[in-house]
Amino acid sequence: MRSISFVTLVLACGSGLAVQAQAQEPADDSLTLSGFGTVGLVDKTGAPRWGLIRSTAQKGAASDLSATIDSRLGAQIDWTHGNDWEAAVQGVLLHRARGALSGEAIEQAYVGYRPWANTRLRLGRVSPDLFLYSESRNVGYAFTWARPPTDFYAFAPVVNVDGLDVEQRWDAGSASWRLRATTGTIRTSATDGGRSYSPVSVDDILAVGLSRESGGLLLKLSYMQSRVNMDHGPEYRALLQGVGALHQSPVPGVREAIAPLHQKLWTGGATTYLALAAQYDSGPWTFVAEGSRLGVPRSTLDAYRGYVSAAWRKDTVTYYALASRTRPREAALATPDVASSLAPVAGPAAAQQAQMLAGYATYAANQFRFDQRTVGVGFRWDFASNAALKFQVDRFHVRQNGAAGWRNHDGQAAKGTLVSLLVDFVWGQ
Amino acid sequence: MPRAFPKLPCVLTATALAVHALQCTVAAAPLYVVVSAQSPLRSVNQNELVAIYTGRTRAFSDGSIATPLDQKRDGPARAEFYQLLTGMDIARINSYWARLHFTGQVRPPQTAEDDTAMLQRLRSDPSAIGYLTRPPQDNSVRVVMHLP
Repeated sequence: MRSISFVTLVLACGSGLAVQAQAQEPADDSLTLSGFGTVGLVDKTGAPRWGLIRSTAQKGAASDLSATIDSRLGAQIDWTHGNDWEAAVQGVLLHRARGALSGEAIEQAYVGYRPWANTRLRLGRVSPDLFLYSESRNVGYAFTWARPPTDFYAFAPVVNVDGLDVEQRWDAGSASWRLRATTGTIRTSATDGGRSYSPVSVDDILAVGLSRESGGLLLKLSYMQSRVNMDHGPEYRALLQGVGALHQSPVPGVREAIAPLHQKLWTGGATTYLALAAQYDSGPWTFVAEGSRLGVPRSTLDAYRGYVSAAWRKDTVTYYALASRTRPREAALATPDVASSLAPVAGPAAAQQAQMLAGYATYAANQFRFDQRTVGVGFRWDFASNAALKFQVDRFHVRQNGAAGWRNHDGQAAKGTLVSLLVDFVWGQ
Repeated sequence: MPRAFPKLPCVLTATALAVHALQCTVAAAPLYVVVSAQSPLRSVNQNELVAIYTGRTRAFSDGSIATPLDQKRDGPARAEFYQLLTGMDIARINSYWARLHFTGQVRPPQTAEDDTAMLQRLRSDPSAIGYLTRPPQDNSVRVVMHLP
């Protein structure tokens, strides 16, 4: 509800500013409605009962053959007043986890003002311009693949910030530059490996994106810092308490054994994100590469990510290949041995209970680890000027304790294949 | 009837050649990049025009605001314009603009239904820049570039 309230406030401010602007100078108003959508089907073989996700906000596919992961429908209302004022609201209907915040359906809602031609200030729900594709990950028609590489993008449950941004564009020689700085908060939700819903709050966001475009080469450098808090629910809190109690244990050996696990049972803290991306268009060829480091101290979320893609276009068909990888910075946690230290003091029954607790907690901590790679090939056929059909085959390989990009997983290693067939379209643009 | 079959490839070939010739004819037709006569702009180079029509800038080189206008979205003039200007076909351009538009970066240029509507918009807005399929017949607008 807080998200909706914020958006409502922004829209109300926008209306007020528009009225004020109209009173000051006559200018052309423009109100347009446009939208986008995807109808998609994906079939998985391998990794039995695991549920695919496109982002950690999703509940995950309930079966190997699923139409809910990729299918979605979006609409956007744009308003402009002369060359100075603009506003937009974008809503997206897609399959979300039950209990997800109702405001999550609003992807963008902002009012923008341009004091100069290439300078823009925005207030509202805005995209921080961090990634090459994740801001547009719902707009399938805007990218070549069936979906942006999940190894790279799935970790982020949401990519829009409630706050304000300032953007400056300029030319230097033959290059066009764009700098955007964003600050604000995020209120969203994420699901864990067991498809449980968890509220996520991200505060103190400072994001900066710098792009340089010249000829067919686009380079992008992004950085974000923030403070994340995640409420994993009562079971996780009970685990935290239990492990905390063991960590305070005076029994020799127990504290040392449990310390690494106690440190990695993450509930929140400072995070950083640093990314470098490049896209090169040359005739029929398009090459894309993006790499990032998600820094989450004291967490198994801490990871490197990257992908490369090459696409070749012949008439209305684009053939492509892509490879992606996400690798955690640290090895998976091993279950600490607390029983051998506790048993002589507390007895075998208590020691066994403590050992079970340590086992559960280790499993929970490793639930955040993304450790997988994917290779895929496919084609995109632009059968109309506003619609494209895509077919893609991916081969994925998930390492043990690295299945955070899946739901209903068992934490074991798995290999499998995804076959995706989608139709992406836009309208009214 | 059996003699009809050898004719079929000939008919298809002739049709393909005709379509190709038509496409060549369409591709060869010049476009006239125009601004209002009230605009101080005298000429524009291709790099500047690419930057304006791909949303990289919202200003001319002198710093004044540029308001690009497109012809009808699914019309041949718009397809030809972007092909000549950027080398991209209309599907790629539409995909490109979808990315910019739906991520809140830049709005696509507003569209005019045809040359007549384009002329009306240009006459009333000194910051506007557009393109025509035929040379303008009066002095209310100024040609600043030819494509190709």
